[in-house]
Amino acid sequence: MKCSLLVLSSYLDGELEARRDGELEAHLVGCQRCRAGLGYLREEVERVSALGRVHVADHSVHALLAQLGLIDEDEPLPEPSPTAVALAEPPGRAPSWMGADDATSMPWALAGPPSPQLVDEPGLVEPVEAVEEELAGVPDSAAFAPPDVTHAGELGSIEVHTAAPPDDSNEPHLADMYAEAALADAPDDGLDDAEPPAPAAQQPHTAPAPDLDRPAFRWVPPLAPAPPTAASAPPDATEHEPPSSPGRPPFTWSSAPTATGPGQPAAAGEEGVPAVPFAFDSGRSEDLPAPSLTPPAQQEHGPPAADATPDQAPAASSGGAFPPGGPEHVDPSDLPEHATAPGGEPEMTASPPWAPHDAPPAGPLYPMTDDDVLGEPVPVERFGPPPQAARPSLFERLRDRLAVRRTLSRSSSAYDDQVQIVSGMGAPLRPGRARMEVERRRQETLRMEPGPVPGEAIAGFSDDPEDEVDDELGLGPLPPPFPELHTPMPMPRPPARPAAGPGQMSLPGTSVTDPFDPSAGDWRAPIHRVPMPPSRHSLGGALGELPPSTPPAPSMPPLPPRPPVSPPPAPRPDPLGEALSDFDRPPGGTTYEPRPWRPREVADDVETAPPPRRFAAEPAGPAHGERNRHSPSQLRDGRRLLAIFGAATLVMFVVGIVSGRTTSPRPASSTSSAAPAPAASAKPKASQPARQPATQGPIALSPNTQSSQAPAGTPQLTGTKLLGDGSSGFQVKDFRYGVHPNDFRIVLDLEGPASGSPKVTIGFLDQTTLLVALTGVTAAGSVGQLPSSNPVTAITLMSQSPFPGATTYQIKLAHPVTFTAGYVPGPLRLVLDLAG
Amino acid sequence: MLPPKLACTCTHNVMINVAAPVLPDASALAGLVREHLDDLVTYATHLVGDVDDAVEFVAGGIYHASRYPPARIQTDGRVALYRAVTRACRQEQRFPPRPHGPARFFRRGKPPFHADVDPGNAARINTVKRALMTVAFERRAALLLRDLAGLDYRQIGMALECSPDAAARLLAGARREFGTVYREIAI
Repeated sequence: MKCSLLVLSSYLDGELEARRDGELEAHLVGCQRCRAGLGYLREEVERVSALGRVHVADHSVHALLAQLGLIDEDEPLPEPSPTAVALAEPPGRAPSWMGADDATSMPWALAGPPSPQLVDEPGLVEPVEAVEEELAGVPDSAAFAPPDVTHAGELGSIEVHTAAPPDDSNEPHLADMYAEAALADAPDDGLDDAEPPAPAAQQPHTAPAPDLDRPAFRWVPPLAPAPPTAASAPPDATEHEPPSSPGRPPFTWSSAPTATGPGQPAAAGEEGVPAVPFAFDSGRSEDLPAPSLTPPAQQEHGPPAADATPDQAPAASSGGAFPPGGPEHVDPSDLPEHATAPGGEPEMTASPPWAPHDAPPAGPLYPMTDDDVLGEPVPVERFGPPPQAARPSLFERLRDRLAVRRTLSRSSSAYDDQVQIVSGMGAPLRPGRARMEVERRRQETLRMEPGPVPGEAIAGFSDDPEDEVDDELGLGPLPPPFPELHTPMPMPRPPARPAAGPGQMSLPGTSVTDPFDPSAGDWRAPIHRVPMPPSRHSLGGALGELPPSTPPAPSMPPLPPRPPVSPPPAPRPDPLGEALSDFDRPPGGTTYEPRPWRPREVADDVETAPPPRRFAAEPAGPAHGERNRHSPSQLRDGRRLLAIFGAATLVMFVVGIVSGRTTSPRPASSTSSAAPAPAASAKPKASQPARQPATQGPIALSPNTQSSQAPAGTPQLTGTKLLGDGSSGFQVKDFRYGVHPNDFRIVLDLEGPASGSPKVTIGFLDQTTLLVALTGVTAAGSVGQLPSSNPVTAITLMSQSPFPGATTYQIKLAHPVTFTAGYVPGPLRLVLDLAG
Repeated sequence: MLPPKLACTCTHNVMINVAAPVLPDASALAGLVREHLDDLVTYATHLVGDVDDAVEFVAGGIYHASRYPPARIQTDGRVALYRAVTRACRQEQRFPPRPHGPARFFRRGKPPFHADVDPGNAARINTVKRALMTVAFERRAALLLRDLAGLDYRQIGMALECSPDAAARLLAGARREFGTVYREIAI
């Protein structure tokens, strides 16, 4: 019969056919795994069946039924029918072969469950009775063989309770010998191992016990909290031993944990924890179901007083430690972490009498894997979608999508670039420092003499993958992992020996010694080196370096044919490669051994794959290519940066051209006069006197931003007129306007020194733009109110004067005019008449 | 005489009740509800994890059962009630129904049904309930229907609207999952 959780579950629920039922019972006899699984299933059934109940008040029931329209408002509640099915009937039943009922399909019948009168007796723990009775009926005691102490010691400490035989026999009993031996091996975890066995007279025992000479074992799992010592426990509860028969020591054997979580009631004594042999208990649960000394149905309504165990009775009488609904109804969070029974003992777990008595203590066999259960189709929610999990937020989705895209966009070779050696061995060398770096490393290698030279490796460490990496770099192998083996530098090389083993080959002049071989004598003996292949994959290449006359080892496979040697790469001025090739030579030798052929690299990288176009000029040598090759990601990044830089430069160039065209002054008119522009060669400087910004007066009807910008150079004015003697320190206080029949007058009131007049330059920038530049004058006032009818449309103070050191007013005209200007003293004012 | 193709080859008598179903009396359903109301609320409480919701779901299920009563209330009435309650819990059918949609902001809905219940320890969360809540709804329902309500596989199949074999698989899977989770979270 195949082990099936589905069958076990159905068997537990009594839903199996009679034939299958018998088959399973027969299977359970020999299958420990199924017995353990059945025990687990029973525990789960008990846990679920011991869930709390809800009671609805009668008036609420009445209100509910009335609201539903089943009864009227004034109608009394209907009486429940007497045929109501009680909730939580005992779901599980004990298998017949365990003694729950008469075995129908087994050839023998075990003892039945403990009788109530036995439970009533004080000081009796029911599981012990069940054990004794069942042991009495078990014909083969080998089924309850004690666990291996050595193996059990890995799981937890073993306590051995050696009980003296009741008779006065002076002969050391075999059980005592076992117990002493186990006690010597078991660690002292603080648990008392000298608990005095209870007197046989105090232990009621009615069933005859078999003569089992075993010490008392108690297995304490490491996770279980340590129970109090036996000194604090009452003697009547510390040990529950059956009355021993003459010539037989009492025994108590429980593989279950001795203490459980706070949810466990104190159903048994400390030592009497599920005193059922191999009665399993997880020992970690905080709210395991109630000790099923009584069926769950009885637990639901509280066990009768006559059936209450001695430990339950004080618990119930001491202020309601457990509610009437059973100990399971006590919330574990309301209890202390290590709740103790009223007697000060840790709460114990009592397995139900029908628990699998020989279940293993640990649960590696569970959960059972059942193909039938695992292959169960997902129930279809026909009436609504199942509750959906919380959807990720927009940010999380974007982040994940970007991560996936980035991951997928990377090639596999890009990951090789994630680890970059920036310094030390293996770091890329700068061209300028190549010679110095090589020289430094060479000196280091010389100081490591007689350490491994390039091309050689220490026997026993040749499989180190770092050797391969290091050798690829052409820098020689790394220092040996055990430096103390090489500290004595001056070591003479022993005479040559032939190869010692199939995996060790020796060349002439070398020998092989395994540094970890105990038969080699002193492990600090000189280590002889043998040229090893640079990698585990290039053994053939290494063997290819052997002289043709050297016969291979007998156990070695035939040497592969040496591949044709590729022509040397094209000479290329590479000081680093040259230096490294020089470095590859043995320090003291003059002979140069070429680097061994690397079949993997040749096959994968060099020979088969044609070099890309951008690498066409580079030599195809593997070592050379490894040193000078840039990864595609590096090249891609470089080209990307170059493209970005070029684009930025182009954009800046275009912007500069455009801005230069817009800000450059207009080309000089062909009708420009010969009047020189003031300070034409000088550019505006930042040291100009501060000027007020363009006044947004009423006359600034259309402030022309273009005109307000300073031209790049001095504008070329036409019809220029220069006035003043160049005095400075004046201010333009006010603008006044006068409309005359023939002209339009503009008067600039100047304030300043009593004598002199500032230099003013007046000219046309174009036909409708007149510039008035006053040197050494600051604008202090506004331009005033412009009359309505006049040829002037706007007067603007230019924020940046095109004339250095001058305050320039721009006068926009409606039509071309001619002007006359002059100073009028006392007070000084500039008069500008526009005619036309 | 039926043609040969339509001739029935069954060896046993197949009786089809073509009579109109007789709706049971409301008082019979009220008595049935009165009998099993505590069990139903207990079952729903552990199924949905909240007592108040469970009361509303049970009321919703009973309301549905009152609208569509089982034909054989004396034999299958209890299972029909569990079926109605399970469906109400699955679809979150409450009684009185909660207003939904934008219209709920403009009208005053009926207050939820309130019942004085004594949840006992059912409202307290412990490891068993936490482990139970991790099991899928159908499995959890099967586990509770078997181990808490005591229904057999046939009745569980009726309550969960599946076959007895599927109920057995649900139950076995639920026990396995529950046991695994319980041992994981129980310290």
